[in-house]
Amino acid sequence: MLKRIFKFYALPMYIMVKPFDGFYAMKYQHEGTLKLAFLNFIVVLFSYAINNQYASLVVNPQNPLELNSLLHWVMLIGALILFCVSNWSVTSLTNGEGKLKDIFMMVCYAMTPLVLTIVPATILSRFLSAEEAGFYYMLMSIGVMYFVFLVFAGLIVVHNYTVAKAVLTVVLTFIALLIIVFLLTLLLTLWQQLWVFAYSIYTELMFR
Amino acid sequence: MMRLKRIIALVLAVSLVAAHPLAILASTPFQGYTYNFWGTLVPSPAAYAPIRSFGLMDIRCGENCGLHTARECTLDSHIDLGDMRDPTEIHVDPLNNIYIVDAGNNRIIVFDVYLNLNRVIDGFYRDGERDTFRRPHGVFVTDDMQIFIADNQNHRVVVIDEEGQFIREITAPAIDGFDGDFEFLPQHVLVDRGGRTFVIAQRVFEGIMSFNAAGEFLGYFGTISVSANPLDIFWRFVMTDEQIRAQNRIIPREYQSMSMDQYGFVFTTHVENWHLNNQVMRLNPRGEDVLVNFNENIIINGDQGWRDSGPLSGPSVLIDIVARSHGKYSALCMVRGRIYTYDSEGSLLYVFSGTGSLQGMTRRPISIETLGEDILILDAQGRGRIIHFSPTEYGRLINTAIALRYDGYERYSVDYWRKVVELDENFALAWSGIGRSYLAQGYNARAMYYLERGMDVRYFSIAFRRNRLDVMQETLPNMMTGGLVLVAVWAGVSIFRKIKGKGTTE
Repeated sequence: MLKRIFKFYALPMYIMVKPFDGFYAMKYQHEGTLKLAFLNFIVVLFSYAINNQYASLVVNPQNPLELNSLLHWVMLIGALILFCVSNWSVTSLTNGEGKLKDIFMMVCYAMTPLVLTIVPATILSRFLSAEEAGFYYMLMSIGVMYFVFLVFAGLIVVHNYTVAKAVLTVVLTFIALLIIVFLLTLLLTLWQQLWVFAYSIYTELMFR
Repeated sequence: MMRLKRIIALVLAVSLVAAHPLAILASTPFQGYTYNFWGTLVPSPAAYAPIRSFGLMDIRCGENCGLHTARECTLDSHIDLGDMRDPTEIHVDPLNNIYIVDAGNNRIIVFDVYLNLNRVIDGFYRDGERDTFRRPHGVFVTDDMQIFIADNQNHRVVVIDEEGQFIREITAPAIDGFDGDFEFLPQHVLVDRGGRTFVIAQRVFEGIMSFNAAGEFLGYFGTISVSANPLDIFWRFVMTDEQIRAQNRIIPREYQSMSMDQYGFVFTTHVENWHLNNQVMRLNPRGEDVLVNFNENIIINGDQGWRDSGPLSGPSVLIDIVARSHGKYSALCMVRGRIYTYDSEGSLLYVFSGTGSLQGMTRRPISIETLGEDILILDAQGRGRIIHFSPTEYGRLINTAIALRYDGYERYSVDYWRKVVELDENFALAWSGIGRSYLAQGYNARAMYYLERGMDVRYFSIAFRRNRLDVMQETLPNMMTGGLVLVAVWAGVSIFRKIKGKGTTE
């Protein structure tokens, strides 16, 4: 049983240890599966909710009345989709070799450090006082920083870029992200106005 | 049937009477509130209720008022003091006499808490010659009953004794900036334990002016560092020189008011242009701000949220402050007429009063003073009046519990906090008060529960650490014993196996 789990989760672990080889294997040797990518992401979502709910008061002064894990999830999913789409749209213009599926899988596989740190850090926080909270923050930030590093390494491998080009596309990705958010807001407001217009016509007709 | 009706009527009547004290609790025209850990507003019962509101027409003739001859003066008689005109300050001296600076009439009216007139100070005698005030603004009475009067339009601070004899005066210091057309306009005056006189003067931005006992200028005290709004800084970066010159200059804020606590530390208020800065300071004798605020999300500047436009909008402007017993201090907001009381740790205890014309509300609150645990507010609107607030049951319980905490008897405060919780379950400070009391008593696990409920992260951490030690001390011996037993068993089994194995191979 344990062996099967290890075998099932071998690639993410391998990516953590040897990111470049790992992502190469994921993309070019087709060892990555979309199923596992989704699973990894879902585990992160749940660990995030667990962290918000159960981390000690010392490190997590959340207002339980305003804590909404579903909202957090929607935001995280939205952020992931936005990043993937904007990165794809930028890299497809700059000779990137990655497909949307590759980018998505790469980001999800890169989340392994988060899977490995968030829940243990949450458990650890239950045993820490305010003076020792540094250990919790250290663990959490190691996870996040390693995740960011893995995403960056993944971008290089997946798109077959040089480091300089990868940095450039990351910057462009964020610009594209802003444009997408702007367009979405615009669309939403326009749609709302259209809706209000239609609705007022409807009410006028009903009052006649 | 008739009997039943009568019983029901009786029960109803009794319940009405029983409900009466609660009705009194709720009968204030304003709603009390505090802020929770996250800085959101939480309604609470009124901690203070107005017990009387009076103007000059309510002041009776005292025993030796000096306005009448002995024959005319009877204790009951009302005297015609007229109305106040633009009163500026209320002050209570060490003998609990109340001083009102009636600036528009150039006089100071002194009366006791029973509203018997003591005297009207409208001038003094200097070498036998009579001198008067021009729009006096502030007054301060020292422990040996010297009266300091900030005589605003005469550009001086006058020191007189109880009989109205001139002692000395403080005039504009002969320093740079006070020559030419610059006028010395003292507003508030205060004398510290070392005999230094602190003066807040209009249009002096360097700080509070301090003078020694001889009236010589010592220097500025408690200079406010210049703070600029980040957005302003950005705009100044963009603007041309001409535009900058047309702007308001970014200069230190003027002090609004000051009050000295029992240790000789000076509480001050000033208007802030950045809503994340405290409006209150507590200056030590060296003039450094030593105000304590342990609340991360709450700033000591009155309301944490406000409307941006319309009536009663904008951030609080704390126009006056009074230092109270046990490290508490109350600040008066000019905009909404509310009084914010904080404890020595910077936690907002209660807010009361407001703008309005009902009893207990003010239109143009200008000054605040304390009389024991009571609060007096001077409302400068119209004829001028003073509103006397007294703590309700709720306020009294909080005051007592805070006093116990401040004096180091935290362990005895649990009953008071429990009663506060009975009256107001939403008051986080009461929950954390129970927790801290239990912590002081040594009940660490119980303290953790209440401290978490009161969102007191600082003390929760302490309670948690102690509780962790308790748990470890309790369980570690058993764990170690169990571990040793396991090791012994494992060792025994492996030795046994070895011997047995040897036996079989040989």
